[in-house]
Amino acid sequence: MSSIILLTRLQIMQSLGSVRAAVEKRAGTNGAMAGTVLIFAVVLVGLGWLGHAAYGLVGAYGIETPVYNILFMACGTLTFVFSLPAVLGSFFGSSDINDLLPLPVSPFAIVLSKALGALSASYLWTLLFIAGPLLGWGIAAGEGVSYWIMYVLAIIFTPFMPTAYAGTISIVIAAIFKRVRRKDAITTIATLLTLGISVAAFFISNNLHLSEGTAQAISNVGQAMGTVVMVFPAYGFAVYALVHVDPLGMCLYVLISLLAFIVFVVVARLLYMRIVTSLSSGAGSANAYDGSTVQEQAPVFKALATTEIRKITRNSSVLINYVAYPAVITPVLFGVMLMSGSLSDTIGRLAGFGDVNRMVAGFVLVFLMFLATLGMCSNKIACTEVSREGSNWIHMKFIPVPIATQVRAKILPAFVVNVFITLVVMGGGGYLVASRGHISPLIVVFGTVLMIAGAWLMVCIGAWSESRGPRVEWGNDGDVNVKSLGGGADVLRAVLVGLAYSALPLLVTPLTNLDPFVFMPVIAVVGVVVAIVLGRILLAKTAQNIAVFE
Amino acid sequence: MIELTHVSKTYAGKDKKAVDDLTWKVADGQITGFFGPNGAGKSTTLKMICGVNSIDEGTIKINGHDIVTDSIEAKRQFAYVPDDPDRFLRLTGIEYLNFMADVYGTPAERRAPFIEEYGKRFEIYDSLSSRISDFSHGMRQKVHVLAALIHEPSVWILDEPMLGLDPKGAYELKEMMREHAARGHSVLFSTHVLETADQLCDSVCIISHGRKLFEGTLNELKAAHPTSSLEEIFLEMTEHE
Repeated sequence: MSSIILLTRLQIMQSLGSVRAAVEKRAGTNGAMAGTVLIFAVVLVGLGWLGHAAYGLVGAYGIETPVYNILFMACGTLTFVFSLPAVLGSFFGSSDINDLLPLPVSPFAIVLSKALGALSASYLWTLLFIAGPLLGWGIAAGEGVSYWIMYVLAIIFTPFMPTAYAGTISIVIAAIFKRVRRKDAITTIATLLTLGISVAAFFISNNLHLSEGTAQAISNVGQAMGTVVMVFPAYGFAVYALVHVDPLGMCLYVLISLLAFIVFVVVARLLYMRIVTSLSSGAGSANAYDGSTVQEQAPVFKALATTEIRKITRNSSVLINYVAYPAVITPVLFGVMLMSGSLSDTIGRLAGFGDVNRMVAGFVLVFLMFLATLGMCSNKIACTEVSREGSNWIHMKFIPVPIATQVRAKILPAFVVNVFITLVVMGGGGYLVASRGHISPLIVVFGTVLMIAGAWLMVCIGAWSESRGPRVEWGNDGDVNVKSLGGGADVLRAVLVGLAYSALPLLVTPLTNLDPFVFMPVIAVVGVVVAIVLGRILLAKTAQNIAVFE
Repeated sequence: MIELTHVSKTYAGKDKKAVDDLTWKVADGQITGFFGPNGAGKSTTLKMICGVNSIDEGTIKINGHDIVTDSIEAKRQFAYVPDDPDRFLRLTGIEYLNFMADVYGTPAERRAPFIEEYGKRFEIYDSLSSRISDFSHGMRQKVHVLAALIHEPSVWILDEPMLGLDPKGAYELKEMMREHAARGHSVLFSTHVLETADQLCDSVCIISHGRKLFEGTLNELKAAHPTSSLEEIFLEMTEHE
């Protein structure tokens, strides 16, 4: 037992990466702990206040069950999606298995500690969707001790089932593909297939279709909720137990959650060791070089960009977290937009709004661009252009290529990912709304152009922000793991730019008297020009910052 | 040729100079060894020469090109092999060689025979399809040496180049260094293995605490200390600093 506790503690410490080190360097261990507790308390109290206010608005209607269902649905789904990289990072991302295997600890202890380490990373969504809101709701409802005991149990066991699902499916897929023998490739395949299978299963079981009207929108949400409760059966018991303060329901919830997690650990124990001990090591893994791939001289920018793309796609942690997840979140947002068709009809029928088309043109564009910004915020390729090099960053300084050129090559993949997300969100959502005649396709096109310009500026400002203090102390590009890279503040600045661009179509809503057909093109052109000019200035500053960095 | 003129550097937040008024010339046609105890300023000096670190005072020129004011052209003049071979681990050997060749503008008709000749000399030619992460430490060092030299510059700057190399690899590299110097070019390398320096170097520069203690030929150094080995000379010179 002591070895399990020791190893689990190790896994949790490793999962915090350099973030913990950076915070402790600034604030000391006690300061870091106090800061963490403070942040948790603020979030808990803030969300609790929201829950309290929500009860004040709708509590009298006796709709605890759908409210709790929505919260558990959101928590379970997001926990499943985001625990996947935590599981794969814990089992395959770190190279500590070479250090752990020779130790006098059982393989079961190693596997369990890794599973618990991944589980610990999943409690963020529980804090956001269960702990906070239910705290306020329960206080407002005047719940008794029994409720609060179940509240604590719900918090503890909520991540168990979705983490178990993510872990079991991904490790089974990794076992199937273990012949690939390369850790990065296995992790990438396991992540993408797990997500792909899960998203496909969700949409198929939900039978989503284009709908008309508010009632159908709500019924779609209800249908989605039913699907999620079917997928996470334990949550049905949790909701019932909390609403009716039923101990038996809570016991069943705890038992089913534990059972799911036990299955995960057993499957991992059976498969993980066989996978990890067969992974590639040694130069003999590839075919002998036959001299055929000495290539013609390529332009420097192309060579730099190609190498950057190779470094990104061959690093599963970076590929999944900075590329795949932003791109995966986009289809999820697209699913939300499928409801936006009925939402636009609902908006059109509300009394008091005069010009429906201008309302839709402005506000729906803002909504779509906000979704695009949200999708892009996980794309930290630009915000880590130097940090991802680690100790290898000096290479940027001694090769005979201007640093500005190197920066552009490094941020190009980030921009491409952002454009993809923008096109899916704006294109898909815009088509839905335009097909109902509430907005001209031309307005959508100008909105898309504006958002692409915003995406470019987001990339430039992320690169500039990071260049002011790259984090390169952690190791070399063989060890790069997103948890070592940080970049939160850099991303925040980029997201603020995206949100500013998202707000621009407000200029063509009923808040002003501006005709969207006249002013949306103007806004788009101005937005593009600002992005180009400001982008050039930011990239020049980025190159200067890197040039003096040492 | 590398010329350092009154070069000084102090790291931010430190009182003491990492490199203090260093004036030194690495001549053509010679292999120059660069020695000093740990923390003497060797890596700092090499990184300033290569443009990685900034220079607080003085100038550094490589074949007449100032590393600060004419940096791109200066960087074309040399090959730099840092002491850390754990770089570009996710690329295959051949991808990395092609990348470096593209960066330095080496056409295919020159890079292909170079890769074949020196890849076979270093006995890594057959492994170039594998990722550098799959290479042993010595193989990584070899591929980085090849990649640095692929554009066949006149100046070689090697920081601990023998580290991790097997005896044959070390022998081949020494031979390459001798051949390069014999063609009238410059080789500057740092090492802690004084026996290697004894075998290879035509001239040496010894620094300690950022200051130059000696610059000259190995024969001049030994003549000044006729009864001592190179190791004893080095220890005596740096001990009193």
